[in-house]
Amino acid sequence: MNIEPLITNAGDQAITINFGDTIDTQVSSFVFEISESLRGFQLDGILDIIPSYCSIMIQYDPLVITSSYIHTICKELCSQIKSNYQSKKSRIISIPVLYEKEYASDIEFVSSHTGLSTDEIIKIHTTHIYTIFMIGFTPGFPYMGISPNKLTVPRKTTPSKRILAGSIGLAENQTGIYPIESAGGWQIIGNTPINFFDISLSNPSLFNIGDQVKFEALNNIEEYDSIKKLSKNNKYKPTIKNV
Amino acid sequence: MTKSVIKIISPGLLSTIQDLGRYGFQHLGIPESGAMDKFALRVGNSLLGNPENRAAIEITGIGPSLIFLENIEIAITGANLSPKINGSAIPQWQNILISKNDHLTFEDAIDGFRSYICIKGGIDCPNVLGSKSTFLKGQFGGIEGRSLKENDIILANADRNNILHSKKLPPEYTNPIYGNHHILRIILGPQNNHFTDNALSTLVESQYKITLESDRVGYRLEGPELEHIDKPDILSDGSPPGAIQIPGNGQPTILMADRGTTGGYAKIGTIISTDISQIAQASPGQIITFQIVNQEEASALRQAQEQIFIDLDNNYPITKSNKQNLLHITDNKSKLSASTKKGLPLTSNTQQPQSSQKLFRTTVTSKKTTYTFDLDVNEIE
Repeated sequence: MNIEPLITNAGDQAITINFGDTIDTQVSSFVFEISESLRGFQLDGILDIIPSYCSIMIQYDPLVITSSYIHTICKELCSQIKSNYQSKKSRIISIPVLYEKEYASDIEFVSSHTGLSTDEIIKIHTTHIYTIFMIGFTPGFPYMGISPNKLTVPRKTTPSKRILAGSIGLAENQTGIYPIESAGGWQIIGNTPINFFDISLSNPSLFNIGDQVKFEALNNIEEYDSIKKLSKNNKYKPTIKNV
Repeated sequence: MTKSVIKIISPGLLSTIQDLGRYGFQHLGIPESGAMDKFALRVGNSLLGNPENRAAIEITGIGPSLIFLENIEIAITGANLSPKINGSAIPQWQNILISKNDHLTFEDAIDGFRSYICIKGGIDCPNVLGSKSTFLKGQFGGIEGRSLKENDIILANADRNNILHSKKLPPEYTNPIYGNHHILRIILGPQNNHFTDNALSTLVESQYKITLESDRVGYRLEGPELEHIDKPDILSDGSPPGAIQIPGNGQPTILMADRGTTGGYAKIGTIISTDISQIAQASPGQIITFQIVNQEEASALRQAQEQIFIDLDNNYPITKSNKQNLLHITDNKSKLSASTKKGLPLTSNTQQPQSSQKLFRTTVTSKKTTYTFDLDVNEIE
C-alpha cells in the first residue's frame, strides 16, 4: 500500500483519517483493517469508529481521551499495518433478488440510459461480485461497488418519496439495498425478500464492511414469497461462502 | 423495579425520551441520537443524584401537559418554556418535590427551545442497542420508537428514594440565557480545504438565519453562499456531531443528534462540544454567527463547562439532614419567589486545563497482535 494517511481534527469530539479520494477495494480493505484493529483496542473514550470508502471517522469523548493521543495511535497503527499488509480473507454472501417489473420501477430507465436490455442488466448485476465499502444513510444500508462501467447510471433527479424495504438500487458505479422503507434517489432494479437488518439483535446487521455480495435472480414471485415468509420468522439463512 | 410516574395528557410539539445517546453502532448506520442538549440533561440528572446517562423527557418549543402518578423528585433543565405546577410557576435547574396528582404544564417559550424533564431514578423503557434514546426516523428506542402521545404512561427506575443523593447548585450559578442570536465557536475542517478563501471569511463575517427545515437531524441555515473550490460532493465519510456541511447551494446545514452517520457533502467546520448545547437551544428564525477557535481553546472551554459537575459532586449534596433545602411545591409555595435569577451563564470561572508534557509508552492488543506506541500528548499542534 502506498498511501499516506491525512489525519485531521473534525471538531473537538472527532478526528478523520483520510486515504485519498478513490473507490478502490484495496484501499477499502486497508481502511477496514485499521478500523477493526482500533475497535479491538477498546480504548476508553472512543465512542464510535466509522469506516467509509477511503476514510475513517473516530468519535471520542474529549473528557476521557485527547485528540493528540488518538492522532498518535492512528498514525502508528497505519504505518505498522501498512508495512505488513495483506488483503484479508473475505466471505461472499448470496442475496436472492426478484427483478420482476413490479419490484423494479426504474429498470426501464436503466435500460434506456445504458442501452442494455433488461436481461443483460440482470446478467451483469448477478454475475459481478460486489464489495461492501460502507454502511450508512439509514440503519443497515450497504454501499456496494464497483459496478462495471456499462451499468453506471445517475441518481434520480428528483428522489422518490417512498422506496420499499428490500429495494435494490443503482447510483453511479454503486449498488445498494434499502433496509427500511424510506425516501431515496437510487434507480430501483429489483427487491430482495430477506431481512438483513434487525434492531433487536445484538449484531443487527447481516452485512459487514469488507463482505462480498453476489446477487442471485429469483425465478418468480412464489420463490420470493416463500423466502420472505421464512425470513420474517428468522428461518432463512443466506448462503455464505468463505473465500 | 419500575413504577408508573407520569401520565401524558397532551404531548406538546415534540416530546421524546432521550438519554446521552447510542454509541458503538454508527458503522452500521445507526445514529448517535440522545439529548440534543446533553449538557442540560447531565445537569438535570446530576441534581437528582442520578447517573448522568439516565433517560429523561426532551420537550421542544411547546411543552406537554402531564400528571404525576406519585410523589417524586424532578428537575427541569434547558430551555425556559414556563413550567407550572397546578398553575403556579416553578423554578428550573433545581430539584422540586412533586406530589401525586400534581399537574405539570408549560406556557410561553421564554428562552431556548428544548427542555428536559428529569426524574429521580431516571425514566425506564426498553434498551435498544444499549440506549433508551428515541430515534424517530428509525422508529426505535424510547416508547415504541415514537414521540410521546396522549395517555402514554412513563415509568421510572425505582432506585430513586434512598440511594441517590440530591444535589444543589452553588449560589454563584444562575440560569443560562440562550437568547436569539447564537454565537457558535467552531474548529475548521475536516474539509475546509474544499472551500475558497472567500467562503472562509464569509463564514465568520456573516449572519445566518435558522430555517424551518430544522429538527433533531440538523439545522438548515440561510445566508450568504459559501463557495466550494471545485464541487460540493466528497466521497461519503463519517459525519461528526456539530459538523457544518455545505451542499451545492452553498447554504450550511449543522448536523445534530439524529444526523445520518455518513454524508457526501464537504464539511467546512465543526461546532465545538461546549457550544452544541447552545445550538440545541436555537429555534427557526433566530440568528447564528460563527467564530473560529483552535483545539486548545476548545479544550479549555470544555473544561470550564465541566466545572459545574465537579461543584455539584463535591460541594452541595442535599443529604437527609438538610433536605429542607429542597423546594417542596405543594407545602411551600412561598419559596417560589426565590426562583430564577438571571444574568450569568451556567458556568463558573474558567480553569485552564493542566498541560502535560510527559512522554509515555503504551501497548495495546488487537486480534492477537500487540502494538507499542510512544505517546507524547502534546505532539499534535
